[in-house]
Amino acid sequence: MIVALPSYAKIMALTAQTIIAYRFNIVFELVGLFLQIFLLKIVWTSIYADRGAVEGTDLATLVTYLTIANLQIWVIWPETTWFLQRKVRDGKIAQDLARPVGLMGQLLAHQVGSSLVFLPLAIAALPIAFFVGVLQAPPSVEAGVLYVASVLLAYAVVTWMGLLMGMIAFWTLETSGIQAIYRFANLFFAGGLVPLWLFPETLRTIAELLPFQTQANIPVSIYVGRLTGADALRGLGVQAVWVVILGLVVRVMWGRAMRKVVIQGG
Amino acid sequence: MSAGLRSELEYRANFVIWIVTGAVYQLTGFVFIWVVLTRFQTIAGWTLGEVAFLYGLRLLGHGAGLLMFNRMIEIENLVRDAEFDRFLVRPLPTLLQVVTRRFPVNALGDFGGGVVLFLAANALVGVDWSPLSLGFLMLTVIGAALVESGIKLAIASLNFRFLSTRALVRVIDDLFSNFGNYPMRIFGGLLQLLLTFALPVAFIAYLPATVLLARTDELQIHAAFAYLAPLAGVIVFGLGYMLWRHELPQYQSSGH
Repeated sequence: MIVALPSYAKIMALTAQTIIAYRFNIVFELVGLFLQIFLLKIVWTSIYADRGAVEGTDLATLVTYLTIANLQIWVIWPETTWFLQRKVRDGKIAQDLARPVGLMGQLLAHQVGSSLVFLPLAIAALPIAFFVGVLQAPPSVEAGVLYVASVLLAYAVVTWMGLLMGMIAFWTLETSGIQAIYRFANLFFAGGLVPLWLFPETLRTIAELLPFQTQANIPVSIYVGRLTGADALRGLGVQAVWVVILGLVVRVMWGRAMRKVVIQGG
Repeated sequence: MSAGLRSELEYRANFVIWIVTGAVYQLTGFVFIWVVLTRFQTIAGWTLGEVAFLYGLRLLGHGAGLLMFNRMIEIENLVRDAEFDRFLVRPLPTLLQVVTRRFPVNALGDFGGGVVLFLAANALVGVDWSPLSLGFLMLTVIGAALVESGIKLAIASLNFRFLSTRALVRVIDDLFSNFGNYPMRIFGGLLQLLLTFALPVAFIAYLPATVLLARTDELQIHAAFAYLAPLAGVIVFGLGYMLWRHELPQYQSSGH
């Protein structure tokens, strides 16, 4: 593992380079993102009308929630899905398995490598987010610290989900359908359009059973101070449970996929 | 399973996925409005039924626009592949050839979604459907299709100078597809004017909807703009077409 460290770094650097090469597209992605945040702010401002607070949260806090949630969803994107699909399509899986870093290592390095580009970009773009949306500071140091921990757990969940979606490529080659569904389901059920506490009863129950809420709702609820103390820890616990469950599923599916590769020769 | 059958099924599956993806993208916005209005009842005084009416109307126009001119985005590839020269030597008008090259099937998903949503909305609102209002509806949809197509045509003609305008198309499409779904009162003075006269989003669905829903008194501009909304489509398309015709000879003469 230690021997492979330089290789991991190389892969991450290569990934970062590739993404930067597509910077034009990324700029437009950000433009789209900011337009969405802006529209959400306008719509919610109109919805709130003269209301001071709804379910205990005022407009500024709600829009802060949506602004950060949308930024987070953009930064923590499952990059391994298309990466894995392309590798399967190229048909060189057997070669990848033989490399010192291994295929799984490559995938994880790729995921982290892309974040090394998106995160600084998002931070650099924060002033714009401040203008098109609302950005308040967390109400306490505790909230800020727990938020960071929560984001790390969210990162793990998304990484696993990205791998699972990518693994579909081993069986069907085509992952764009499930990626489209993920894009919508994640945005909606993670709270990127409507905060979960404003969901109708049934939808809220469903949302709380799905892993998407670990992506944004839990961390950002902690950030804005809706989940504090024991509730916050419980939220972190839910995230941890999903990390474990999805990790196990990834392990099982990976084993099956590798057997398939060996039998069919990549 | 034979390779031929497998790829045939895969092709069909991708086909369905393609349509579904488009529909999901368009309907995400409506699910959002639906959830919000279930709880809050109105936005800027518009009820869920009225907003659904507006949204469905926009989707109808959008789908119609796609059905007409979706393949404008193909031009970028044509230019790159230098295939475009093939069309220049044929007798048919260049534009017509490009359009019939491939049928835009993803438009069916969007248009179908629009039909369903619009019909459902009509069960909730009380619109008086006379021959006059039905005629206005048809003109609205055609006008909306012309607006979106005209803009896409204008951008496509930019392809002759700049090889990649795909991102610009995405941004403008985003603006129409997202900002166009709401009663534009919520946008405030300046933004409303920008989304009416700088980028003609209002003419696609909002202004016509105020006419059909008898809400023209909420407009900050003269009601005539709403009654004559379909005309905007003719103007925008005319301008777009003129730009296209202007850029085309430049492409021909630049040694391609």
